[in-house]
Amino acid sequence: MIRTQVNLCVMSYPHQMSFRTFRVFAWIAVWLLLAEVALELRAYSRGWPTVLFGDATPPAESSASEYGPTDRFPFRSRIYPERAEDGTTRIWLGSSSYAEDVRQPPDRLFISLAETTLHAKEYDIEVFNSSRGGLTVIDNLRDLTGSHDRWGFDMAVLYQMTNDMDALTSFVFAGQPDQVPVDLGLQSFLVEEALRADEPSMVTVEIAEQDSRPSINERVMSSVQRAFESTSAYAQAKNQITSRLVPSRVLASRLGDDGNALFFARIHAFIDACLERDIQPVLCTFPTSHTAETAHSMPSDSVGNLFRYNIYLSVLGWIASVAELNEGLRAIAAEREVPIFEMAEAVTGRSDLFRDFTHLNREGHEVVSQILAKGLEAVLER
Amino acid sequence: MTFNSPQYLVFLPLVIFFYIALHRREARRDFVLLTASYAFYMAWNWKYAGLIAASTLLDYRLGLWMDRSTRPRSRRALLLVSLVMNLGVLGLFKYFNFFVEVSSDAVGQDLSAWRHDFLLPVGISFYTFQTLSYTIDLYRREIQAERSLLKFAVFVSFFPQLVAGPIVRAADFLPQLRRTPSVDQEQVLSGLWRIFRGLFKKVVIADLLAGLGVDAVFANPQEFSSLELLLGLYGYAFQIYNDFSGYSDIAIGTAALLGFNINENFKRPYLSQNVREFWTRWHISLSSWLRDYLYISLGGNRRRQGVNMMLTMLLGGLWHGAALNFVLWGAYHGVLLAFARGKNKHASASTWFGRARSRLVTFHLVLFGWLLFRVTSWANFSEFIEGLSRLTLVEGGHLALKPAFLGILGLGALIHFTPAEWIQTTARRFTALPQPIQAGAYAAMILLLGGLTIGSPAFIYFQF
Repeated sequence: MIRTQVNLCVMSYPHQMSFRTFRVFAWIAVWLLLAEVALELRAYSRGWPTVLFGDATPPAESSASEYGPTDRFPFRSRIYPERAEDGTTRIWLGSSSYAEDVRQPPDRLFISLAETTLHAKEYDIEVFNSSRGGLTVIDNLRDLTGSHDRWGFDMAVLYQMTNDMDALTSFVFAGQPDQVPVDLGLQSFLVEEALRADEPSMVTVEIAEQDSRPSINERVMSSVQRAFESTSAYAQAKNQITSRLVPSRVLASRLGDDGNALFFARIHAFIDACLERDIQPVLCTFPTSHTAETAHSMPSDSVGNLFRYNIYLSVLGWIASVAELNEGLRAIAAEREVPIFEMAEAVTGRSDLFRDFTHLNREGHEVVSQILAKGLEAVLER
Repeated sequence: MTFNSPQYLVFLPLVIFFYIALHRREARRDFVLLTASYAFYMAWNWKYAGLIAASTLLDYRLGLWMDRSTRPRSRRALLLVSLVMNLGVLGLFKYFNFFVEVSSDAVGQDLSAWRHDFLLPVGISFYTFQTLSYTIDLYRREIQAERSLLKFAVFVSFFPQLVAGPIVRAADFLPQLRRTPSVDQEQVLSGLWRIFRGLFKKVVIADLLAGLGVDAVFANPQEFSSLELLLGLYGYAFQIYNDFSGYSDIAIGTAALLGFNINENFKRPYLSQNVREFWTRWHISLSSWLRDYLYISLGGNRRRQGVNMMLTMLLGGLWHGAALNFVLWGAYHGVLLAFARGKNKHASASTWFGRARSRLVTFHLVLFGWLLFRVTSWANFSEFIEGLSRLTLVEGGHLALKPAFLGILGLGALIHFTPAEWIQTTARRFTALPQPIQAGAYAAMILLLGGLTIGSPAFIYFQF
């Protein structure tokens, strides 16, 4: 009956187009919607963030309400007024999900624990945790330079590496700026282009900010892209397909000299930006859950997750690159006479302190906080 | 915005919605197509849409004047203006820096200050050839000038084939714009089949071939055995075929959904029995353009046939990009065609074995051309040839290329060599299924393609 009606409908307009002729599009939309809802429910039941049902495990909050971020205080740490009292040392921490760690309450993060330890030793310090998931050194640099005038930092600690590595692998191995992930790529590419041209680092940041202002169509395009990438269907498809296919690639055994040089250029830009503002820069080596010797025992979900973000380096290549970059950080620290905290030496390979290959668990935060507190104490005593 | 992006997933249904809603009024539906085409192009870079608009206005005006003019001299002058302006813009954006580099080397002076930093406008080679075919056809009095600026602008900028072809001719396209579009259910379903077939070729075959092996093999040929280099080269042959023919499939399918018929661009080219036949099966819209507007203009088969072929293929090579390897690739095919000029392009060996041998030889001749096409430098080419000549099976005790690469290579070859009738039968059977089932398969494919982010999302022919 339905088929007859449709045919009649088509036949009555033999030379024209009707919406009914295209109803297969509606069916595709229905299937996609059903798939998304089903996958969102699955994700929600497993405690992952979803578009439709929100976040099953909202950011862990402190029992005390004195922690940010709030509308007026954009840091995931104890809330302080804009102006510091005389004699107070303000310490900014630039990192990513490693120090934002929404699974931990803010007072259990290593930076907050270190602050508590130092307060107990009567050091007059205030910590500003400027870490958010997905940030790279370039983003940290922009946050630091953008917020310093308001909050007046005395010291800036940088705890970053693998997000930069992921972005740089795309840049180095794909070879073209437009193949670098949209959110990370263009900005860092512009900065790096300028850095290569030996321009002063702060000028380069300004250039990057000016040139990367998106036009309307770029904004529309990227919002569609973002909406698509925020769906559970996309996350699942990428997780189940791409991360499984990556080991079938011919994977690189190291980031390589070009990638290393670009990362170090970012570190130099960070140090330059701090010194120009009379801020004491501090570097940290980056710890990982496994070493080259124990890589074979890395859990498969960690490996899959690693390949979600990096499709160019093998697991061993990724570990080797972290080690090379840590070496480079030590060399830069020595060359520029900047303090460096040895997180890597203390906890790399101690998988019992990590919940995946880069993120610490509760115990890990405590161990790292002790190293951080000790390092900060030494710098404060100078 | 590319055909394999999520943006296109939103864009295409929106265009179809407005097109259906407004299709009964000629001016309105043309306006929808023009707006959609410019929006599609501006999603890449809005600033360069002005170039297409300028090219459109110029050739529209010149076309009207040429149509009105009866004096051969003024018609020739108008054609010359069109050629100079269109090729001038193409030359400035695409070839200027290349010629500066070549001149620097020739005179032994650093002329880099002359270089410009303009981006190469996407699709400029395609739409320039399209507008040129219009003015040349007008000059030859093979068509009449289009009176409607709106229709002419749609012809130049029609989004399904704007950035990477197939290059359409005014004589084929403009009449389709004048009639009320008629799209029945069968056309919708077969158009969608064509689009998803193209997406599969691009995302599953071409991108995976590149991501799982081809890119690595060409990046560091010295790290691979001769066998792997050969497999990598085979991989590239099927990568470029699936990438480009996949794009053409999506373009043809999208156009079909809007009621337009665009000619085929590929006919299983690696089954050719000689190089002349190859060029009737590979990028047909370009090879026929070069034949009709360049080769014949140079004298065609009437005189200096070999020289004409050589020149045509050299320029055809240069059309692909301002680099020495494209020139060499064109010259190589020119030489092959010049040698094969005595042969009938449709000649076929009488025995099965003879045909298989001809196909194998032709495929490998074409394959060597792809090596020239793909390498990034002379050093890269030398490393590749040196690696091939080592005649090693494995390097370092194991194959670096994984079974997944070989599987995708096999699938790519299978898709190419499957008889067209089998594919048509499969398409017919699939499109006869209830629509919810077809839609379910397409939805699953969208998820599959969305999750596959290995390899470059850009189509190879976008750079041309």
